[in-house]
Amino acid sequence: MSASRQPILAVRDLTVRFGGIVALDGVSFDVAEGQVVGLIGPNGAGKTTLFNCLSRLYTPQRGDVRFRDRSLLALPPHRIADLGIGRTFQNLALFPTLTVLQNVMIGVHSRTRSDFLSNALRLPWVGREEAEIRERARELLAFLDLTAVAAHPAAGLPFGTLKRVELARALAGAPALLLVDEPAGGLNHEEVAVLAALLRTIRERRGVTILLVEHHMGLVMPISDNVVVLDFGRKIAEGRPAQVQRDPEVIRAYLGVDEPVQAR
Amino acid sequence: MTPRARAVGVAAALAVALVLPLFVSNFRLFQFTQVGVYAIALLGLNVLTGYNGQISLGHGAFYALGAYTTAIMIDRWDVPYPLTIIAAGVLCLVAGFLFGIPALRLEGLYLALATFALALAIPQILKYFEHWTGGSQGIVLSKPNAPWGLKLSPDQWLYFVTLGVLVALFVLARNLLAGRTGRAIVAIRDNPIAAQAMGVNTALYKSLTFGVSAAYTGVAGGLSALVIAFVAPDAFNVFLSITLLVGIVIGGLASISGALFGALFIQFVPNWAQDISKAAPWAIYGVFLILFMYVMPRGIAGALRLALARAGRRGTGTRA
Repeated sequence: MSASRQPILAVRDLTVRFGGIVALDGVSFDVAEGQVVGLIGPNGAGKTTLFNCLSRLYTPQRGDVRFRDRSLLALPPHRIADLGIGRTFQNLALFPTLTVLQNVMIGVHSRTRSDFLSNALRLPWVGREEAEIRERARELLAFLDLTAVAAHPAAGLPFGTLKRVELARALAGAPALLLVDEPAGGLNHEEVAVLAALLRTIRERRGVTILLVEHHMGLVMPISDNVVVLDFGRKIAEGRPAQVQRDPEVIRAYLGVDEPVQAR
Repeated sequence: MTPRARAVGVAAALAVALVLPLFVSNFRLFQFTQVGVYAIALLGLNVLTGYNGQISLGHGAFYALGAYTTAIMIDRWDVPYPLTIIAAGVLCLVAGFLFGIPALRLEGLYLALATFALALAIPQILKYFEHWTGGSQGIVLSKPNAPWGLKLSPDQWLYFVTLGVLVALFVLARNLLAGRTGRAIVAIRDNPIAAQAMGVNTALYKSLTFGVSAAYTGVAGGLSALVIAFVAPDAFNVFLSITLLVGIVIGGLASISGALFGALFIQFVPNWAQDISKAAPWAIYGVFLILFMYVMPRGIAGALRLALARAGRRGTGTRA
């Protein structure tokens, strides 16, 4: 069972309110090391809110988020990456004026340490660090089939390409846990299949644990070890994909009581 | 092609700069020294506004702080002038960093207004501390002579001093902006939330960038005090701050060479305007401004980059 493994991420009783609206209501679940966990739920269920708690963009009113048994809530947002948590954004958050290569190079920021003074003076070790950053970024561009657009500014590339740039940038920080926010949004059927294969490779070859927020059941169900279902900020189900798909509560949340079952 | 073209451009500009004193009058040379001084100030402002996206309408205040630091240290304590320039830079680094901390809470136009307040206040503050600043009368300095028995007039010597400082500061800025720090500075401008998610300490980077920017402008101010041999409060009014902003936009935002082009513009275009019409020089200046923005919407540096890219493409096109 997955529960026997040490959880890399433990979400406990997480509660977030915006004014009178409860976005997350006492949500708890674990992500075991090496797993792919799908976080699903209808629009407005609180999935992205949960992600934003993990990256410390929001502070929950109650509860805790522990990464390798260390609370994230005590840390500022910029410290999350160097703990080993990378993320992508639902609506793309690239640096549009920088090239694809530079975007990915910023992903290595949390793993490097040169500062204003050492950069301005271009000390010898800074040159070596810069070469390592470039090397790592190039390797990821090759891995994600982005080498051809390396020198292109991030603005103006196709959506699917930009999604891969975001993945490359997130992986550049060598995360142990990767938070992926709706990667299939805006992709066509074939692209979704490619993405599924890619996420599997990232998990298997790079040993990255993945927490995946997604609407697209065709992506979540085949690749997830575990699925957590949110509805109106509450966890309504958790388990293996096949179990969750049969869960009457989930069917009701997604499809309304009497509707026939569909893929989306 | 591009790095090579850039190297050729830099070498040519340096060669011209080195032989310039042989060919121009002392007054012209003084004007070119001013161009160098402005270029340093503009580079500082461009790091902040062009690269980091923090708009400052108050960099004249740091220019003034640098100028008065140099003037007071020489006038009061007879400190050797190279030290006063360093002191001007350090003091403005600290002042800029400290101003950068509350500025973190302000974005875009709100930050512009806060810095504008700084620009508004500085002449009166200078007059208020009359004991130190000489009030409205200002402080008169004498230009330093060339050392080591060099056969250079003070104006020529100051030209080379400014050129040396300019080259050193441009190299430092280039290094800073080309590496990890520079990418983070630009990332904050492009998307602060994503920058944070990548591990960039945006608060620290923004205040440090403010400090570095102010330090450049402060060094420029210190040099200007030496070059003009005089400081007075009304030289550092709001108009100076606006002029600096005009300089970086005309020269090219987020461009290092743009600082030099912008400096040439703000030094010489007002003079041309004066030559064209004594009655309405600022109207002429305004026409120049609009014309430049219309013809070169990305500034002079941006237009040059585009022209070079086109030429390069045509070159490879004919070869193919």
